[in-house]
Amino acid sequence: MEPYLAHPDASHFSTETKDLMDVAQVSDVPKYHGVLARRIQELECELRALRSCHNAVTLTCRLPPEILARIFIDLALMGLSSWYTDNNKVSVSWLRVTFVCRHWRSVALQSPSLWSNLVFSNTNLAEAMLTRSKGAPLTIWYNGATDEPSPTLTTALSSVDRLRSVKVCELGDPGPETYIQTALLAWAQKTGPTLTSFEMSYTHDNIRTSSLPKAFLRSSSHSLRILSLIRGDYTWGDLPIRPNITHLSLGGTGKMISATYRPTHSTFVYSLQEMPHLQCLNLIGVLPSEADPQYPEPIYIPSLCSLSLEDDASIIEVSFRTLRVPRGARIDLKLWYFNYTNNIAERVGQTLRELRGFVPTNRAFRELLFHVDSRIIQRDAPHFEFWFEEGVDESRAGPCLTLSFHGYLMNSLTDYVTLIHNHLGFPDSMSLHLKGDQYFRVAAHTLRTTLGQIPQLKTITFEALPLNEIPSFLESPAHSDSTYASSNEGGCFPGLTIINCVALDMGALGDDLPEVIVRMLDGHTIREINFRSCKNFRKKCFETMKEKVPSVLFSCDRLQ
Amino acid sequence: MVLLLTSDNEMFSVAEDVIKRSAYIKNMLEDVGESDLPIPLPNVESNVLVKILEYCEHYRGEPLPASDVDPAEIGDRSLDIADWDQKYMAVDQEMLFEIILAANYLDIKSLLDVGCKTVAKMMKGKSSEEIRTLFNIANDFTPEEEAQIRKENAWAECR
Repeated sequence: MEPYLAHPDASHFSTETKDLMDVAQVSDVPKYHGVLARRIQELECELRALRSCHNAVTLTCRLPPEILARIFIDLALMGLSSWYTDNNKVSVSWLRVTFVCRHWRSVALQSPSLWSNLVFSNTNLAEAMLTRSKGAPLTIWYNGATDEPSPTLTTALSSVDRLRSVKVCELGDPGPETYIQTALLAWAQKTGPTLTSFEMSYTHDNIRTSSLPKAFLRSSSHSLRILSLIRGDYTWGDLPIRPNITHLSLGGTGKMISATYRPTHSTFVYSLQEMPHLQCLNLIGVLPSEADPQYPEPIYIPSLCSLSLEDDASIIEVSFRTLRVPRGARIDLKLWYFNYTNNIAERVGQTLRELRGFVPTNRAFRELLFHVDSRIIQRDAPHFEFWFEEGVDESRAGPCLTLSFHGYLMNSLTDYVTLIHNHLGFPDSMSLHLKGDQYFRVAAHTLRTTLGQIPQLKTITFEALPLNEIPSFLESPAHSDSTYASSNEGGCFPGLTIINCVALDMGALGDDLPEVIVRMLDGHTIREINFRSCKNFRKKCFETMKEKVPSVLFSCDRLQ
Repeated sequence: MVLLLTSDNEMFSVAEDVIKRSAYIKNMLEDVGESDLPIPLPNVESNVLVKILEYCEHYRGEPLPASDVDPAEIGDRSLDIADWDQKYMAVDQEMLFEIILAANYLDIKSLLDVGCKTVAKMMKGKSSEEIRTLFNIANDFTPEEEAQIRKENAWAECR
C-alpha cells in the first residue's frame, strides 16, 4: 500500500492554497481542519463569484432588469391563461425563473407586478406573493374547488385600494366561502377605485343572499369593465351596468332561469343602451322571455365582438328579433329543446328560419349547439352542433361548415342536415364529425345515402366509433359490372379529401387493417388520413399502409 | 426620408412613416423638426437595424399599440404571437436579444412585446436546469439560497 495515497496532488493547488499547506504543517489536527474549512469556504465563494461573472455577460443578463422582469411576467401570464382553458386552474411553473441564478432571482423579487396575480394553490405561496407584490395592483385567482382556503385570501380581498381584478369561482363550500364572505362584508362601505374586473361563480343554486357585494360593485362601477356572475343570487336590477362595461357574462340555473329573475324586455334594452362599448356578451338563462311590442326596433350593439347565448330555443328566437350585432362578431348559440318532446326537428327548423333573419346566409358563426335531451347538459351528452368558420384553412376563401353529431342524434342527422341546407345553405367546404359508438352502426346506411351526395363535404372525422363500420361506410358502391358509381350518383363522397380518425380501436381489424384501408380508399381522392389518440395501432400496419398508398399523407400521434 | 446612423457607421435612409413606429425617433422628429442631419443610433448595429426596419416595413400603416397597457394585466394583452411575428423572430439567440434591446432603445412597443413573449415562450414548461442550459447560465446560488429555493420549489410544483 502506498503510504501517502491520502494526500492529494499539490500541483493542482493555487499559490494561496500551497502557502496554506506549508504553514499548516502542524500537529494540531482540529486547527488544521479549521484552516482547511475556511479555505474551502473561500474557494466556494470564489467559484460562485466566477459563475456570477460568467452569468453577467450572458445574453439574458445583458437585458435591462425591467425587460427581464417583463419576460418573467409574460411567462407567468401564460401559466395564468390556463384558468380559462383548464377548469379554472393556473400553472405557477413560472416560479422556476427565480431558481435559475442570483441575478434572475433578484430581478424577479424586485418586480412587484410579477407577484401581483395572487394564486391560492398553496398557502405559503399566496402569502409570499402578497408580500412580494408590495403595493402593486392585485388580481385574485381563486378556485373554491381546488385551492387552499387561507387568511391571505381575506387579507388580499380586503386590500380594496389595490384590487384590480377578482376572479373567484366554484364557490359554494362553506369553508372557503368563510374567507370570502369576511372580506365581502368588509366591502360594504367601501369602493374599489382600481377594480376593473369582477368574476364570481358558484357551484350550485344554494347561494346566500349576502354573496354578491352589490353596494361595493355599484360604488366601484366607474372603473369596472368586466363583470361575470354565474349562479349568484341577484336580479338584473342589482347589476352595476355602466358605460365602462366591455364584458358582461351572466348565468343562472334553477330558479334563476324562472321568469322572476329574467329582465323585462325594456330593462334589457335599456341596459344594452347603457353599455355602448360592450364587446363580449355572454348570457345563460337570463334573456328576456318575451319581446315587448313597445320596442319594435331591434337594438344594435356596435362594439360587440362576441355574443354567446344559452337558453330555451324559443327565448333565443325572441333575441333574434330584438338584437343586432356587427357582421364580424363571433356568435355562439346553445339552444335547449327540453320542453319539446315531439317534432323537435320541426322546432329546430323554426329556429333556423328565425336565425336566417338574424344572420346572413353562410356568415361565420362559431357554434350552434342544439341540446334536445334534458337528461344532462354536458359536452358528451347527445347533441348536435354546427358552425361556420372562416380562416381555418388559408387555401379556402369562404367559410367552412362543420357538422358535429354526438350520440343517438346521429339517427336524425339527415333530417337536420336537410334543414340546415334549406335554411342556411351549404358553403363550398364542409366537415363532418361523427361520435356515437353504436348509433353509427344503425345510422351508417342513411348517413351514406344523404351525406355521400354532398360534393362540398371535404373532411370527415370519426371519433370513438367501431372501426370495422367505417370502411363499409366509405367504400365506393360497386355496380354489377364492377365499375364504381360516378360522382353524380349518391353515396360516393365525391369531394372527400381528408379523413380524421380519433380514439378508434385500430386492433379491431387485426392484420387485415392495411388491406381494408387500401380497399376503402379505392375510388376516392383522399389526400390525407390522420390518426389521433387511436389505440392498438401497430407500427407495422401503419408503415404498410403508407407503402401501399403513397399518394396519401398519413399521420399518427400514437403507435405501438 | 429620415437618415439613421448606426453604431458601426452605416447610414440608412428610411421613409418617415416606416420609422415612426419607433416612439423614440417619432418624438425626436417632432422635437427637432425637419433636418438633413442623420439621427445617431449608438446602441444599434447595422445588421440589427436591418431587421428592425423589416419589422417596421411589415407593419407600415398599422395603428400603433396603446401605450398605457399594464403588462401584468392578462385581460389587456394577447399572449399569442402572430404567424408572421413568429417567423420574424426565428433567429439565433444573439439576434433575438439584440432585437429586444434595440426595440427597447427605439421604443417600439409592439416589437418589444413580441420579443419578450418569444423569450417567455422559449422558457415555458422548462425546468430551471433546462433554462440554465438554454441560456448558458451557471448556478451561482449560495447554500443558504439553495435551501430557500428547495423550499419554494414545492410551490412551483403545486397547481
